[in-house]
Amino acid sequence: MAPANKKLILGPISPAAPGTLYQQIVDGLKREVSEGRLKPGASLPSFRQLAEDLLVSVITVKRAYEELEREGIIYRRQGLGTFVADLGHDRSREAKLNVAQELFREAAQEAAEAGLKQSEILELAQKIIKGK
Amino acid sequence: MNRIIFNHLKRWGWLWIIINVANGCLVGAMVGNESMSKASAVTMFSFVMWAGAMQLNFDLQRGLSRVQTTLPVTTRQIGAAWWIVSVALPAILLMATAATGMLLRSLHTHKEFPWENFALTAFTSTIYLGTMFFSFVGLIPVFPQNLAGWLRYSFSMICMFGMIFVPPNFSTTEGISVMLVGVVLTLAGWFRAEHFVVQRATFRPGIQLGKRTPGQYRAPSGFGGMPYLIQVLFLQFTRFAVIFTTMMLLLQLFQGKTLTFSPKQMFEAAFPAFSSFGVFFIFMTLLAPMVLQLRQLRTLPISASALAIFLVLLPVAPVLVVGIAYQVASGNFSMHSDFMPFPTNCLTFATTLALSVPFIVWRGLRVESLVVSMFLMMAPQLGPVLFRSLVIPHSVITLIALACIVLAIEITRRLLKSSSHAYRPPPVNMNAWSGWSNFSGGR
Amino acid sequence: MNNAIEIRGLVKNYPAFKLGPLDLTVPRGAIYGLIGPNGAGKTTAIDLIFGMGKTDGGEIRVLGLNHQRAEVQIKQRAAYVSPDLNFMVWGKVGKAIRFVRGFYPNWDDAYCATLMKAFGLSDTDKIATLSFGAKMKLSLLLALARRPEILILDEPTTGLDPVSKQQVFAELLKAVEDGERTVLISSHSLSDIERFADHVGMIKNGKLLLEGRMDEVVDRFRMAEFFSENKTPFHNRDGFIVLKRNENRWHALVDQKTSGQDWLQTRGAENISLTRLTLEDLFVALVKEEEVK
Repeated sequence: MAPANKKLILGPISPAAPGTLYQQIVDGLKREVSEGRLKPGASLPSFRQLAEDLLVSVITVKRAYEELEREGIIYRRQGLGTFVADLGHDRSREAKLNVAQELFREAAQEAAEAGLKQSEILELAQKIIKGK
Repeated sequence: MNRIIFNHLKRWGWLWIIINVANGCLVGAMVGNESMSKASAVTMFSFVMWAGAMQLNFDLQRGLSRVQTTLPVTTRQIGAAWWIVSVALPAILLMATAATGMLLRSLHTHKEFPWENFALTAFTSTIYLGTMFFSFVGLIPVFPQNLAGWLRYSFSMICMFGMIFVPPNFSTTEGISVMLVGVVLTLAGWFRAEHFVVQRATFRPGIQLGKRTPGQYRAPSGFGGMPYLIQVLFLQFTRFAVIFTTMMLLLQLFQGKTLTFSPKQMFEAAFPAFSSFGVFFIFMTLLAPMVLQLRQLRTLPISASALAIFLVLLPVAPVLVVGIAYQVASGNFSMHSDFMPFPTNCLTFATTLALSVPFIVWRGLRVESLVVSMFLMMAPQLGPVLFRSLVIPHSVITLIALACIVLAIEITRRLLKSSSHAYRPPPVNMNAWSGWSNFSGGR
Repeated sequence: MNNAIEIRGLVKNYPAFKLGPLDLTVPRGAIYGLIGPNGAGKTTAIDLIFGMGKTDGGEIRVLGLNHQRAEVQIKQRAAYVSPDLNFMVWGKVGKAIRFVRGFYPNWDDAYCATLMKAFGLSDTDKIATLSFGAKMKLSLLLALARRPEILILDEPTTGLDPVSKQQVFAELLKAVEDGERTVLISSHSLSDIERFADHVGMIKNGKLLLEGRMDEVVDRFRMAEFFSENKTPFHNRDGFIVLKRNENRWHALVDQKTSGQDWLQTRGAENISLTRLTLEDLFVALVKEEEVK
C-alpha cells in the first residue's frame, strides 16, 4: 500500500472565488501537479479525507477526482488509492494550455465585438503580459 | 395598563371561571359553617394558586415580560397591572363566589349567614394571593448560586408554601400572626411589582451565572442509562422527603411539641407530603422532568411500553412504598389524619397520580393538563366528604386502584406511540420559575 | 442495502396539514440535505422516523428495518439531534452525558472527550446557563459520541454563529469519512447545505419537489434571461417558471432537461443568456412558484 500522502494543501476553496467549488478543486490540483508540488506516483488523499480537509461535500471532491481521472492526470487503483499519473504533469500542462487557448479565444472575440482591430488586440495582450 | 389587564382577562378568564365555580361549591359545602381547618386551608391554597400569580408565571414562561416592556407603558404600570390581575381581581372574585356559596348554604339550611367564617375565608384567600405574588418575585428562574441568593430563594419558598401549615385564625396567636405576616407580604408585593417586571425582563440565565469552569473536559464514566436516571430521581426524591420531614418536625417543635422521632411522629410529619398538595409536588419533582425531556427519551432505544410503565410508576411507586412502609410500621399505632385512613389514602393518591400521567403525556406541561391533574388529585379528598355514608371494602379499593394503574400504563403507551402532541417542544422557560423541573439534579 | 433510509408513500394527516404521500431515499454514506420552507413537513417526517406520532400510511425503512417493528433496534443505530431536545433537567453537562452514554455499547469515551474540548463543554457546566448554540452542541455531542450509523439532524444550525456552524459541518464530514455512516440534515442555511451535502431533497406542502445528487440538481436548472416579441406569452409549465417580466424582457427558471435553450429558441426567444444558480436561488424560485399557483 502506498504511504499516506502528507497533508495535501490546496489553494483556498471558496464560493466567493470564480467557478464552482468542484472546478476550483480541479484547478487547484492541476496547479499542484503542473507546478511540480505533486510528483508523478504521489498518492492523493481519499475523497472523503479531502472533503473533510477542504470542508466541502464528498460528492464535490468525487466529481473533481472523476474529472481529473478522465483527463488522465490522476488514476485510481482499487483498494490502493488515488495517484498522480506519470503523464500527469504533461497532461495537466496540456489541460492548462487548452484552458488558456479557450480564454484567449473568448477574449479575442470580446475585443473584436468591442471594435478593436487585430493589431490593437495584440497590443492589448502584450500590455497585459508585460504589466504582469 | 387597562389593556394589559383586559388582555389577561381574555386569556385567563376560563381558568378564573372554573376555579371560582369550584370555590363556590367547595366553600359552600366544606368550609361554610366550620372554622378554617388545616384541610380547608390546603384546599383553599390549591385554588388560590391557580387563580393568582401562577397564571402570571405561565405567561412569563412564554416570554410575557419581554413583550410588555416594549409596549408604551411605564414599568410601574406593568407592575401594577400584574399585581391587580394576580392579587386584587382574583381576591374580589373569590370573595364573591365564597359569599354566594355560603349564602346558598345558609338559605338551604335555614341558618344565619356565617359572617365570621366569611371574613376568615375572604381574608385567607386574599393573603394567600398576595403572598404568592410576593414569593414569585424572589423565585428567580435558575437555582441561586451564592449564600445571599439561597437565603432569598429559601425565604420566598417558605413564604409561598409555609402558609398552608399554619391556617389563619382570629382566635389564636399563631393564626393572627400568620395573618399579619400575610398582610405585610401582600402589601410588599405591590411595592415590589415594578422590580419584578424589570428583573424578569432583563433576566438571562447565562449572565446570572457567568461562572464557568473551563478546562475540565473529563468524559463521564460509570453506569448510565435508566439505572442512572432512577438513581438520580431516587436521591432527589429522598432529599425532598428529608427536607420536608425536617421542616415539619421543626414546625412541631415550634408549636411546642416534643420530638420523640418515633415512627408515628415521623409518619405524621411526612404525611402532608402525601396529601393532595404534597402529591402534586411528587408529581412535579418526578414526572415533570421526564415530560420535559420526552422527545429525547423517545429517541433513545427504549420501547414505548417500557417508557409508559416507567412514566406511570415513577410518581406512583414512592407513594405506594410509603403506604406499605406505614402498613408494616403501624402494627403498634394507628394514625388519625384529617382525611382518611392512611394506607387507603396512599392507594387512592397513587391511583389519581397514575391517571393523571396520560394527561401530562398527552398535553405536556401545559396549564390545562396541570389543572386536570390537580383536580384529579383532589378527588380522593372530596370523595369521603361527598359520600360520607358510602363504605367501600378495602379489597375493592385495592382492586380498582390496580386496574386504574394498568389502564393508565396502557393509555400512556398508546399516546406515546400515536400522538405527536406530546413531543412538541415545551414552552421555552424564559423568565419564569418552574418548580424543581428546571434544576433537578442541578447540584 | 444501499439506502440508509427509504420512505415510501408516507402519509400523515393533521387537521390543517397533510404530509405526503412522501417518498425519500437517503443513500448510505451520504450527507443528505432535507430542505423546504417553514411548515413544509420536514420535522414531521423526521419525527415519524423516530416513532413520534403514528403514520397514516406508507412505510419507513431505516437500514432495511421497518420503523415500527424494529423501533428499539433503529434507535440503537440512529441518533437524533435537534434544538428541541431538552437536557436542562439533567442539571450538568456531565450528568446528561453519563445518562445517554449508558444506552450505547459503542459509546466512544475518547471521542466524547475530544468533542467536549472542541465544543467547549465542560462536564461541570450547568445546562440551564448554556447559550442556545452550546445546548445544540451538547445535543450533537451526545449523538456523535455514540458513533451512530445514521445521524438525523433537525435544524442543527439555527442560532449557531458561523464558526460553530463550520465546526458542526466539519464534525459531520468526519462522521461520514469511512463511507458507512449516513447523515440526514434538515436546515435553512442553504449555502451550507449546498457546500456540505451530497444529496438534496426539497419538500413543500408535505410533498417532494425534487431529489437527487446535489451537483446534478443544481446543474439541472438555470436562470434564463431572454427577449421575446412573441405575441403568445410564456406560461409556467413543468420545468419553466416565469420569475419576472418587463414588456418583452423575461426572467425565468428553466429546467435544462425539458425547457433548455433549444426549447426557448423554438418558442421564439432571443438573446438568451443562461446563468448558474445557487441552491438558495433555486429554492426561492421553486417555493415562490408554488405560492403563485
